[in-house]
Amino acid sequence: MGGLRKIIIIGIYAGLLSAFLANNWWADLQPNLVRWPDAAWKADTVVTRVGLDHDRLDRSVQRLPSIRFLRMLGNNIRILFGQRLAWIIWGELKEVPVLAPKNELGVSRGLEDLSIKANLDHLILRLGQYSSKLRAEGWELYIVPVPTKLSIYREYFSWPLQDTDQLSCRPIAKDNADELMAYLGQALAAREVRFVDLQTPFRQASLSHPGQWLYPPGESHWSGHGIEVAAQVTAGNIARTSSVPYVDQPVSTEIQVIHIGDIVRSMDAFPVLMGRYRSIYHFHDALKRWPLFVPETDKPNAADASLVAVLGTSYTGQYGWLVGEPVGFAQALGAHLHHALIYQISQTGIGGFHPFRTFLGRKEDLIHDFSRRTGQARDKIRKIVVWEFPIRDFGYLTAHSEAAILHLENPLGLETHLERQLFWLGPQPATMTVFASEDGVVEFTADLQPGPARRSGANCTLVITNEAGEEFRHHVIPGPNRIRIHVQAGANRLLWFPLEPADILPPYANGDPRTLVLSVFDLKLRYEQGADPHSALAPVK
Amino acid sequence: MLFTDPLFLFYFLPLSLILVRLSARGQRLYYPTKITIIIATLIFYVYQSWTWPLLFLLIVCATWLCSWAINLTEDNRWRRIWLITGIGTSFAVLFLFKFLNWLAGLLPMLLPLQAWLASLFGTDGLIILPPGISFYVFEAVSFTIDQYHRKFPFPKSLDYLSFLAMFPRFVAGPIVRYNDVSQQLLAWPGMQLARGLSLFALGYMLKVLGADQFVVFVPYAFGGHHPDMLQAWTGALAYTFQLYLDFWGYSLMATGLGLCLGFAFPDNFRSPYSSWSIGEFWHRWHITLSTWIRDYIFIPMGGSRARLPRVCLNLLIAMGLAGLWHGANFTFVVWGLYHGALLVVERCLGEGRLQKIPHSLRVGLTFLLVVYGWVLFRSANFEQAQTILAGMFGANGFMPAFNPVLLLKNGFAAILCVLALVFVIGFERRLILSEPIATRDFAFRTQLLLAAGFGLALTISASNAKIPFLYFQF
Repeated sequence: MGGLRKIIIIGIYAGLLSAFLANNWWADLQPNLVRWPDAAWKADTVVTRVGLDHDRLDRSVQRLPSIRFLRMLGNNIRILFGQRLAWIIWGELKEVPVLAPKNELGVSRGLEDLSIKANLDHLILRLGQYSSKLRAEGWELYIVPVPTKLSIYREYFSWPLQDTDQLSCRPIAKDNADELMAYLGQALAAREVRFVDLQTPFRQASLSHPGQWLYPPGESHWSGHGIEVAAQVTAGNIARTSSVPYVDQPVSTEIQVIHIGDIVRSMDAFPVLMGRYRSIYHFHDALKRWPLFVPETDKPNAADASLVAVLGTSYTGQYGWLVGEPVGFAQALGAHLHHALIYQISQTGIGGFHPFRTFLGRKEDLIHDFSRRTGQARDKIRKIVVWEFPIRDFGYLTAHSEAAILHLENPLGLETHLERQLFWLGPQPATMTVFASEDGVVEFTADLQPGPARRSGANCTLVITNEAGEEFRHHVIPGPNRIRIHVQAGANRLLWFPLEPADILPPYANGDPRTLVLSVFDLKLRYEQGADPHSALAPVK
Repeated sequence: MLFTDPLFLFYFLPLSLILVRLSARGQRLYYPTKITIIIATLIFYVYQSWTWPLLFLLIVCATWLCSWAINLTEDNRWRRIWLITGIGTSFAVLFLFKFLNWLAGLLPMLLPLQAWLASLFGTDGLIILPPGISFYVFEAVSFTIDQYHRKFPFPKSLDYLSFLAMFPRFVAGPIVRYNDVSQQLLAWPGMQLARGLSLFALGYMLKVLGADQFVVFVPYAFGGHHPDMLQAWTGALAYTFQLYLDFWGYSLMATGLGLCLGFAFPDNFRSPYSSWSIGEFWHRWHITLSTWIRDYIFIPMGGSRARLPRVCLNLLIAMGLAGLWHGANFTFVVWGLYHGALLVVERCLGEGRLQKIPHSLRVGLTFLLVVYGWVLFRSANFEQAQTILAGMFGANGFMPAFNPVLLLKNGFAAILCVLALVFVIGFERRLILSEPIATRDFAFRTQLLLAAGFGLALTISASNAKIPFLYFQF
């Protein structure tokens, strides 16, 4: 081969390499991107060996701008040539395509499958038991199953649908979610459990106002409109069956947001090259910012206040944790109920039962806090608990699934944000339970960042109280923090409580600090046995 | 580190090639170049675990010392003792790492040994098979045996280490013998980057655009409980082509990288699915392993020169061991024996009788027999193999359970699979000529096409899940 031709060939590959490296170096470094692979050593905890942290390295490689560019381009090519993500159901029958998560298919099967009915019956039994138990303690439980997007927008999908995970042929001829929801509602009513039917009003709303999306086409969660409808229906149901009055048109302000749906985002492609999916990549939404009820002790508004605990999944959390404002289902519900003091327990990614379990462990704390803030006697409080969960989870709802970090339970929930473990700490104490085999010390390492309500730059002090009642104050430095806390053998309940700074007083200008104060990324814990309990409480610099 | 890993492609490989180029002077392989290649290989290996290079160095030292001792004495008894020591040490290490997990499950008395080794080379109480150990042990053993037979002069220690520690073929072959590279170590032709990169690009395309697309359809047979005929055949054929394109792609990438470093490796594949007999298939499939088995197991046992029953026994033993080489599972042994039995049948029938069958029918029959063998090879156990084979023969009906959605939703993968099949049927033969592929010069236009195809494959690979090479596990 001629010398020049050799040089050209080698030059092409060298050019490719140079373009790759140069793009990494000069690309606009957006959050979550890195210029170089991140190599670090880590100890292998199983065999006490040191080795390369491959997970970290692999993650960092995926965050290189050039790899991201190639990945997005590759995804575009796949989408244009008909590749479909297996976990998405693609509704392509109408002008605007609608995407739904595949795990909603189980609900569309209705009651045709005996195992589905058996699962549903088990759930109904459990819900009945929980409702009776709570009623005996003065709580009124409201069950709010979130309808599937697939059933609400069933006209957009090409039936029969088939589950791609199952290699065998099990087509679902039509959507039978109505049948399943009706069965659930009737069975719960027979057990005197309060059931909020969102299926019927959502379905009616979608048919009567097709342009008003209850779920954005590329998103699995509710839109601002969906949140409003859900809150109205739930509040109306509560008002009808309890003594808490309904507020028809509470005052609110509006926030315009441009939102990228979680499903459409998962395609990880260039929006301009996505063909017809480009039209649903961005969703222009109008969210309502709701006023928060603040009881004033010894005033009438405190005397007739009600305690409303709103437990739920990301349907409850969305969009509060995205925009840092009181715009979610819990706040909307609170606004539609007269003098309702809302306690929100929403968790993402660990199943619908986990928030309820958390509530069971914290309900006395809630009563105590409510009593302190309103001056009401504990036995006189009107206590309502609203439990939202996606109906698609019914099969495993009452089976508790462990959080991603083993031996650690965090009531505010763990989720991932930009591929990192994340949870929020609010001014109400958050409880974590650490299980230790013997007395020792746990060392928490985490990247702590002020939440949306603290972006003004105010400092924050974190107070952690261990099982023995020892209190440890940690001055939060934005970025990596290391905290060591003494634990005893067995379960250790650790209370995490970020202190309000003295210079910020209600009303809060930067949003709702009750839900978001401190974001905690990549929390890890290490357990050491037999350390001195008192020295362990000192911060490690 | 995988050859398809961006870390390898954009950091390790360019840096290694630049360092080798800087250390090289003209057409001679000096110490700095050899040392650069060795260090690059050790870094390549240490990336996954720092304990594995220690194991590699143990094998190197053991076989080197035994070969040195063989070379030192003229006493045949001692030469044999050193030969057995060298082979025994290498195979003992291979045996421990490859089969101890399996055997400890059968013989509880081995559990403490397994636990101890797992503490050094494993996790969760299980020994992790160091990648490449099956390959470099075979290369080291062949070196010791060839020394015993005085096939070449005893080399310098650095040459021996350079022969074994060459990252392009370190983890999955081809299994090269010292004779293959000794002349190249002496008369190094220099780095052949243009040819090497083109060959690497071809292998990369076969892996990413071919093998990694077929993998989508393999679960049709191997992911269900009772696959129907269509499912079983779809999955079995998908695996048949996945395995071929995966391993051939890897071998081409290794050969291309070898050329980049200035070394030509022997071919590993020569259009195996167009073979007209099982004997022919083994002349074309994983050639460096099959010739190793032939030269170091089959022929020393008597090969084809013995009487027919003995030849048949030799074939069964050799193929059974070839199956066992692939892993600690009875399915591999039975797969090897299956091929051994087919070779025996061919031997008994004789080529004269077989030639009466039309050529295309022979090719088709051979292909079918190979596909049945892959079902055994891929299955986790005999029960699964039996279920899939039953499905292939129609025991579960033709297509009562077939779900076309998987096919429809993976339209892009299906298109690439069709293109890969077109390539195998239409263009493979143009690549496989009489001379080894490492010596082939592609036309300039072909090289430009390969560079463009590499760019496309890179894009598709970045948007795909990481799929390791199948032969890394062996």
